[in-house]
Amino acid sequence: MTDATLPIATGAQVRTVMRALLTQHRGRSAAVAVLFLVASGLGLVTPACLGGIVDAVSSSAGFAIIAGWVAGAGAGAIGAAGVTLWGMRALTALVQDTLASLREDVFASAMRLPVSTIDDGESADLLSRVTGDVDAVAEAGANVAPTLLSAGFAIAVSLAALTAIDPWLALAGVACVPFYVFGTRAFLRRSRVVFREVRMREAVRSQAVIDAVEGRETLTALNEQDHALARVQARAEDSIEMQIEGVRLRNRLFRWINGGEAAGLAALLAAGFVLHANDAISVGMVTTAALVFHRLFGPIGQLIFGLDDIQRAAIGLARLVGIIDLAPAVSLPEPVEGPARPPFPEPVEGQTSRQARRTRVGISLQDVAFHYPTTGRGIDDVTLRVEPGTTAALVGTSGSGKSTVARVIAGHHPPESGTVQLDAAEAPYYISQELHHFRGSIAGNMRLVAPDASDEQIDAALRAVGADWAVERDPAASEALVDEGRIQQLAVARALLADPAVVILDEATADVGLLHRDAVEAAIARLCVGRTAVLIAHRLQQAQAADQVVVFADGRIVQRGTHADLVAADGPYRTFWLAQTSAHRPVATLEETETV
Amino acid sequence: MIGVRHQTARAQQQTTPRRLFALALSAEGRGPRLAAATLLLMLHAVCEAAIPVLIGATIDRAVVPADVTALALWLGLLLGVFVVLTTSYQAASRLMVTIYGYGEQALRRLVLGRMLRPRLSQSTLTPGEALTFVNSDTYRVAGVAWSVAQQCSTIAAIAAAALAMLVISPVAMLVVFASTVAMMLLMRVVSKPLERRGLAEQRAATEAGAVAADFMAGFRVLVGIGARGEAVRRYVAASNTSRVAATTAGRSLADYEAVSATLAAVVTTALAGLSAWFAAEGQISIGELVTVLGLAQFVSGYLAYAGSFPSNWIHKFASARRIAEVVNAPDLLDEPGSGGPVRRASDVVLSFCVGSGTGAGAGSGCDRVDVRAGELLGVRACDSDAARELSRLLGMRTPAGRGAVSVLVEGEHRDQRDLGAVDYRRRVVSMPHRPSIVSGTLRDAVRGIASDEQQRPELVTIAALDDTVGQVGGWDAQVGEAGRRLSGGQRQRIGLARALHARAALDAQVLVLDEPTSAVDAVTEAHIAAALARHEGTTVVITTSPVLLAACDRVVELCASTEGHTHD
Repeated sequence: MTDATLPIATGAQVRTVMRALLTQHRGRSAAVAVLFLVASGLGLVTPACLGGIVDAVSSSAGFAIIAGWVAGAGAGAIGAAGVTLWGMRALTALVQDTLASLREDVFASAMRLPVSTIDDGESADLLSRVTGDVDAVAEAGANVAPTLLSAGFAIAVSLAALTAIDPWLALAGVACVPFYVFGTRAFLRRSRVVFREVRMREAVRSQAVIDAVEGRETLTALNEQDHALARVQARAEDSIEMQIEGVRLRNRLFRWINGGEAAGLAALLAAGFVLHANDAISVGMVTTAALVFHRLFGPIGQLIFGLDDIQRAAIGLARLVGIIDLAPAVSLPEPVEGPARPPFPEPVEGQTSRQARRTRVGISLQDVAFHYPTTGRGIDDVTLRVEPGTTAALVGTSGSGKSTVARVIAGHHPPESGTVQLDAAEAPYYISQELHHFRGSIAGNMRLVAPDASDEQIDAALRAVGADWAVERDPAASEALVDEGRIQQLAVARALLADPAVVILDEATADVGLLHRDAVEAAIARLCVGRTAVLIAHRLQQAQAADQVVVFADGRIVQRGTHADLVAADGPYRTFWLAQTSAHRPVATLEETETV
Repeated sequence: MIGVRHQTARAQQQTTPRRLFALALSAEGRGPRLAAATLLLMLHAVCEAAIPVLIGATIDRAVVPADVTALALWLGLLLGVFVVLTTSYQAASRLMVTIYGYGEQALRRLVLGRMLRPRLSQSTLTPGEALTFVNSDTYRVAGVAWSVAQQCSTIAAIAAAALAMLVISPVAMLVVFASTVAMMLLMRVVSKPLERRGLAEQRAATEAGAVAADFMAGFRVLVGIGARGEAVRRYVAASNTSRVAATTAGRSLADYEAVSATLAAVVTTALAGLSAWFAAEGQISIGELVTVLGLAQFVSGYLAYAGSFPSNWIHKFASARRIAEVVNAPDLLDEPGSGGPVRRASDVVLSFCVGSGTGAGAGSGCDRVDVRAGELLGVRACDSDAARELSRLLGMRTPAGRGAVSVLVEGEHRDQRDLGAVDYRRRVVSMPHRPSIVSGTLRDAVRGIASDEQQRPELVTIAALDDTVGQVGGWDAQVGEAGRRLSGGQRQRIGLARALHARAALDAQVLVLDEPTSAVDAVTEAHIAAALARHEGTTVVITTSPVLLAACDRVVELCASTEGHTHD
């Protein structure tokens, strides 16, 4: 779907991983193969018995013999159904177990990737791999594997049966093979391109639908409903056009498959004619051979059309194994399992026993430089010391580099030069501008950082940020209420629950509604107490209380000091401050008039 | 007059599952094409049925008497049937793809059109639910075209086989027909519990994918809060749930297939026994016996498929009923009324109520705010819910009481309730607080997909977007799905630029902005405030921002009952 920006595994790497997965279940794999083999063999009992009926009737054998063949035909078909069921049940479990191990490996590997690896294009690629490619492989595994296995065995066993009747019959039946080979090769050459384009245009059309559905309010406000509908229409037509191309391609393959069937059947009947004329085989044998061959039409078609799915699954598999192979090559900025902090944080309220340890962690940046590879923008010569237990506020316009500094401290980007050091091996807790409310309940979102937290601890953290609405445990109601402001509220509550030693906050109150803003700002203030904190200040009121204020412009530090120092000095901070206070003055008077 | 038109419009809007099926199958000239495709598929099925008959005939007329001429004749016929078989199928597939594709699009357009109706719908769907309706349900209902064609061809195949048997024995034909009906009934009974379990499990099986997508979307948040280990643990749990569910679903399917294969085996055996008996009695020839045996084997596959027809239709009807519900949901806003002009001062372009009395029962006890031509009016929001509500009220996106809002229309003031929604929104553009951004280029996002015009530099500057253009990579850079590649501040400024362009394009009288600078920094906010103050046109800003309010010509309180305070 997207241009692959992450590596794709080679065939050899894919085989290694798949072999490792299957050898875990060697016994079961063998059992499944045996069951399918037996089922295919039983599948031949019916046509063989039908041939027997023909021979018994034409030789005027007794009623008992004919009845025996009839019973044999029935028993064969029912037996085949029974063994197939057994084999399918075993295969389903095997396939699903293997798929689960695979996708879990992929997900765990994806989670181990460093953040700097995953930016824009990469994140779309990664998302499509852990969802789209996992689905494609699962679909192929669940649907195509049984089909191919049973079709493959049916074809092999049938060929063996034809050979057993007379090798010439098998040879005649093979007349179909060149048709299949030629048609399939032509099909597979084009199918990858065509069906990828089909899926891409469908995705583009779906996106137009999603835009229309999710943008309902905006479209309504701007009277643009018809344009959104027209966009969906145009993209749907594009998509249909490509599907027609796909049908044309399939039709060409059908021509070859049907041609192969006709050629094989005619050759087989002609061979049967000659062999029968020379008394080499009976009429019943010719009948059996023709019926056995006719029965193969279905499985052969499935096998050939399954190849397209197999090809797609193989591409998906290569993309998945690419992630697995990439992950161990990089070291983690923080351990995924068993974080340094205890799994059970103490209650939010009250004095904490860890306070002494917490306040020991300071942050040092020495001549740090970092630039984004895509835009070349970034930070230079940043030297900064945040003493243990103090708060540093970073200030500047958007694009001045303050958020980049936060990401570098958080370990998301390794510095190009210079050093970033924390006094203890403690992963900083970083609340970024990026907001995400994870699926599921609010408590589930909170427990991401403290899996064993009690309901009381969660409620206390939620109340501390004024998120009383989230405390009422009505999942349906609170789910609907989660807008971006509230996600920010929850993010701060979650930080309180996590109780980290070092916290980095980037514009954490930008979208909190006025009703809750005071509560959230108070909670942030509380979060900073007794911790080492880096605050990307959006509103200067936040910077006022900080132990030091660092002003950024064009990726460099241009000013530092306390709020009082900086307001007194001539410089960018003073300009900022005036921009806000000049606006403040009339509102202050407004507030005064209200209280009068 | 209006009442009568209203009635007919209502009557036309009511749809039923039947009408939806008709739309998918026969509207826009699809009917004859579907008929042709169905006939071709039936022809294909009959040819398929002819193959075993021809095998029997070849053995009977050519192999047994060792007649070379007959062999050539019958093999020639066999090849001829193959030509018809493959040609008819290809032509049918070619027809079906457009019938299905356009049928699905017609349904999609209907559902989406009703979801986006100007007068809004009373049914409130979450985006997720709405997408299910637009995608899965239309897909299923449109699939009815395939059902009709394939089921007709299956019936044709069974009927052809039965007729071929009639030539040999009427009893054999009766056995085929009776067993077809029995299969359908029996499979319905047998399959019901299996199917129910299968469907439930299938849904559960997609859980892992949803969890993965969610965690990947929040990847950077997970890294920041150090919760990747917990995410992996939760994913493994979800994956395990999916594994169990998918295994159960797969096994249910295997059970179902085993049952249908067994039933088909019983029918085949009965036919084989019957024909063997006839042949032993000398009633039919060896060749005829071969034919019946071949047909019996051939028909069993079709019988198994015929067993699935009833449940197939039950699912399709359920989807059609869901679609009909969305389409038939009543409008949120009433038909325009026919009240007379309202008296307002001559320089007032928009007048609205603040305080408690804005809803459907708005009475006289409201605080009236008059918006004068050309002013930048600040509405000081007390809380975000009240701000969103006012934005919806002024944008006619929520029902208003009579007297709550009036707007200047051709020299006279009219109540909002007396105007059509589209007409009103052309005069008053009220941009939602969090406007959605169209996937596409930055230019599309700013000027809208409706317009072919270029972006206007002066409006871009007001929205402080000039920097962003460079940062994003130019006007033709992609902004990602719904603008996901942009920061919150960038998205907000694009929304502001979009609102300004919409006002210009529609030549609207008033632009209403709801908290337009909540995600931008102080300096940028000051720039936007000053630029808005200089900009010509009537603008209402609902905000808590002191910087924006300071730039306004006049400020009114949204919640306090006192009329506002004037600066300058």
